[in-house]
Amino acid sequence: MARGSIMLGIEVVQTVSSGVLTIQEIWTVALEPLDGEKTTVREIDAEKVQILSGSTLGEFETSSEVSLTDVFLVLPEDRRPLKVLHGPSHVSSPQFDGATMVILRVRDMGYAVPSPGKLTITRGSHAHTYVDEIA
Amino acid sequence: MEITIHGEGTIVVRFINKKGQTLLEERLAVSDSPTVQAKRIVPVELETTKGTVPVAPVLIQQSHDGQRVTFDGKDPAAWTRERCRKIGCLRTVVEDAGRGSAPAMTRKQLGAFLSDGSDIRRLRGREE
Repeated sequence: MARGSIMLGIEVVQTVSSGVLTIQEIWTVALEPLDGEKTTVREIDAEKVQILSGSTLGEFETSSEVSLTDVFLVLPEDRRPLKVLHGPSHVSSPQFDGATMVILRVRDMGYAVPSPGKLTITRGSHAHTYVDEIA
Repeated sequence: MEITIHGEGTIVVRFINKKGQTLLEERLAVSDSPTVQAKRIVPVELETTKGTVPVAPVLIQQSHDGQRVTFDGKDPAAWTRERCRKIGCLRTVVEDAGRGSAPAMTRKQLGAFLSDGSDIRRLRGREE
């Protein structure tokens, strides 16, 4: 039986103590089973807030303002590759037949300052997707 | 190390050094349904001004009993106790961590602050 409308969301909030010089990348996934019917991804979006400073501000010139968000549809047959949809997207995808799982992935960069140094970081990344599965 | 959450809700994990001090805190929330699952790769070492420091993740909070959390596929309390012993924690630290207890970061440790939702809980009249 088709699952109908699904919202899938994940959020990661990190707070680092003073004295820590690195913060690893964010890599997080949320997985939801589907029933192998007809699936449309309606929206993929993400938001991020962060406070970041380092001992040398130049080290953070490439600091990202958003996190990377992707949606993967898992198709059951071995020879059918994952269907990959990149966010942000606010229009409906084509309809895909036979997906048995939807995976929402959020990624964000890690940071480091050399010792001796100082890193201050608090950040939160949120991602969500809306998926419709119909018979 | 991989943290897996089965079922929607929020967890809080603190990463402690062998002295039991919290160096990193992470809050992970997943929403949709009881069948949703989330996976998160977390560090077991942190670079600090004192060099590379091994840490032990401690599951401090989870939303409800129906939500199942595992550390590398194992019970979090057991995994944490084993990791604490491995990195040389004092026995009291091992016991506290195994019970899901680790200190919140002090104001001195915090360089910045994000709301953890206590304001929302107050609005619901359920301040915790």
